[in-house]
Amino acid sequence: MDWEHDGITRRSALYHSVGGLALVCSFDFDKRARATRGKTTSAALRSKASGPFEPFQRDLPIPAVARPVRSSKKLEEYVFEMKPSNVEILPGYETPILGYNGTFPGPTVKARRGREVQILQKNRSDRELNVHLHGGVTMPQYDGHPHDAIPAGDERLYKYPNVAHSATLWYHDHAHGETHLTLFAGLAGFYLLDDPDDKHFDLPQGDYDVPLMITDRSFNKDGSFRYRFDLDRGFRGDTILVNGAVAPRMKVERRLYRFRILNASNARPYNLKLGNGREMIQIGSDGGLLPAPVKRKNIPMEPAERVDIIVDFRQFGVGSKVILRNDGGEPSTTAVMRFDVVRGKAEEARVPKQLREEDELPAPNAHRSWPLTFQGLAGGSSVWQIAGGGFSEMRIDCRPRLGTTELWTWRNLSNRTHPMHMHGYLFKVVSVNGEPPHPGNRGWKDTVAVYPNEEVVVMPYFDYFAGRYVFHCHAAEHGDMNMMGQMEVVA
Amino acid sequence: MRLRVLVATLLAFALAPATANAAVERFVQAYDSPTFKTVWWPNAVSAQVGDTVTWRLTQPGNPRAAVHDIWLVQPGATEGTRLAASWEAPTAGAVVDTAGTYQFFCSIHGSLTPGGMNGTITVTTTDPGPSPDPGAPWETGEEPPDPNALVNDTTAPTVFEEGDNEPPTLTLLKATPTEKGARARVEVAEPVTVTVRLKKGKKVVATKTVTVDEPGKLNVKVNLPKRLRSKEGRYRLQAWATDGVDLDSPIASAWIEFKP
Repeated sequence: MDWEHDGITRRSALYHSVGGLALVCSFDFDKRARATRGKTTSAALRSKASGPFEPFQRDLPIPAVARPVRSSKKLEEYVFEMKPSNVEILPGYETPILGYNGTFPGPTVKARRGREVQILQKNRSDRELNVHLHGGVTMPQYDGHPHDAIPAGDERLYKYPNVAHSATLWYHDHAHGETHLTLFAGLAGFYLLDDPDDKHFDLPQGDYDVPLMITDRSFNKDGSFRYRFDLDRGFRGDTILVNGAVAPRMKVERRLYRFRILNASNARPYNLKLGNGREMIQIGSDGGLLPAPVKRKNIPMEPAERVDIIVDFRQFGVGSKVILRNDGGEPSTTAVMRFDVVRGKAEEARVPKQLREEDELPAPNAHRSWPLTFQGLAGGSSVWQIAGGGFSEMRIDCRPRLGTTELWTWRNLSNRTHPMHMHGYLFKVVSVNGEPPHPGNRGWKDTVAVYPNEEVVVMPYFDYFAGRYVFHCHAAEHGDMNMMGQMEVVA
Repeated sequence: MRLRVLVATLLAFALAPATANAAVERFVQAYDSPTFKTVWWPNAVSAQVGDTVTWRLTQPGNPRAAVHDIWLVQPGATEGTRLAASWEAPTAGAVVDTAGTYQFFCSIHGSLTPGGMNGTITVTTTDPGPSPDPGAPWETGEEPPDPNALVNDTTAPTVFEEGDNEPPTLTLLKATPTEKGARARVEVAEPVTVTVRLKKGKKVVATKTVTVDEPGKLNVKVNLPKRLRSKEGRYRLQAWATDGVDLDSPIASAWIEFKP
């Protein structure tokens, strides 16, 4: 195999990107001369007593639902601006972000299966950006290939056909070598694909269907995000945000709720537990509904993974306070959010016994093996590699045939976890170290955790569109610092 | 001539203590702190020309240890030289033989960028005095100073559920038919609302709710609607308790053979 190394070195990319992102993410050197900014708000007054990081002080924000500029039965059209703005994450502080429409998280796109969505993305930042619909089945020219950038000041129309089943998707920046900075700066939002055929499941809807984007961040004294580069473990912040708020609280009625949980952190994994180990009912994962609900008392989530759960709050009394926590986090990253239980109306939703039928798939057409390694000093600097190579847009790593399935084995030969993500197509997890996967991972997936020294076999189904897509580790620092490959699916 | 050499030699010995002590070894430790700060410990070293600086790259016993490499930039230079990495050798050393400021960094953790894992060696011709051994800071959990950070020093919650989450209990002691319907004898352990109902198939035909202020035993009568009192029938009696926070006990049930 003819492996090449990317022309841009990891260090030069880092220098370039750090300078370019000074607007939204600042460092020691530019803090010394600057006075702390602040404004007096009611939240600021509250925070004086409790400190800006005190958990459960703020109500859970729900990201605004995007409104189409035009809409018909077959098509919805949106216009987004990717632009810097200031938001109040810590009470009394302004945090500069780079966000879709200047918000963090970005607006939620609610799409319907069978109705195309087109989003005109205007790059109002000072850097090259692009947009990847994570988990979306899209034509390659709209997928957000790392080298398919929107220059600063330019715009691009992205078309999403919404041909796949209902699922909790998300969109984020995928700029070459810089996703660890742009994602960190705030470029991420939900894309909830609904399917009218799911109505008969009677799952919780409307106010009882809540997206939760979990991220970790650190802060400078002026309230700006504080980033520290760590090629080995990826970034770890000391504060957990849910939908952009520090460990918030949410009033919930005594009834069923559906939570669509997304780990949008650069590299931090979570192990979610509810209260004193209460059951959560998982109904979906990355690619949509599971074959059947799965009861879980803890849910591990690697970066970019999604888990749809139903929580039955009828098991708690009125006035109860129940904490969703990250088991295994540091002291300040344990509290994720709190549910405050209040009296509710009669329940209309239910938990179905069966969800999506198992799909019949063609037999695998090929078997490929992908060792995942850390390479000190490859090409002059340390990088992460897939099958002994870093990312190069000039190289195609494999050419699967359209309409086939294959068996891919991720072999983690390193001491770090790699959430391996495939663009354009979904896959089934076949085995983890030779054992069947957890029932919660038996639905369609687009990102799978490959833990240190483990071996995970997945079966991607190359359906729908032919073309060139990437696959990579979604620990953002790993993916950017070269743990990325490229495939061309041929018709 | 001999006298000159002798004087020069004597002078050299006489001046030596003031300008050039015997070269010493000074240590810098790679450190990954409990809050994921990654630093050289210390990150500012003073040395005399000819000293050896040794970087300890591994952290035996630190569960949060990451991998590190060490690059050294000579005074006035812009490019660094890689000395070693933690997966190759536990330590790496270099003799600092030029007066001026050396820079050193880990290319895996931010290089020379502000906030990255980097530091400086200030090299002079005079002895700056001894450098304390950095030891193993992970054993004490020391956190590196981070003067520009707004540190989140909150602690983990220790209680994950507050409030009454224990459902009440209800024991159905006896269920008997009466002239108008049925009677349930139940026992409750706390003040609750007791609900008793009669079902015919899936249809609820009669319901009675009673508020109970004291724990204990009580009878609850539930009457059928008048139109059903003239017919013989088999009904399912169900009883449960609801406490002040709306939690329900499990439903207790029994069959009632009703005869007019």
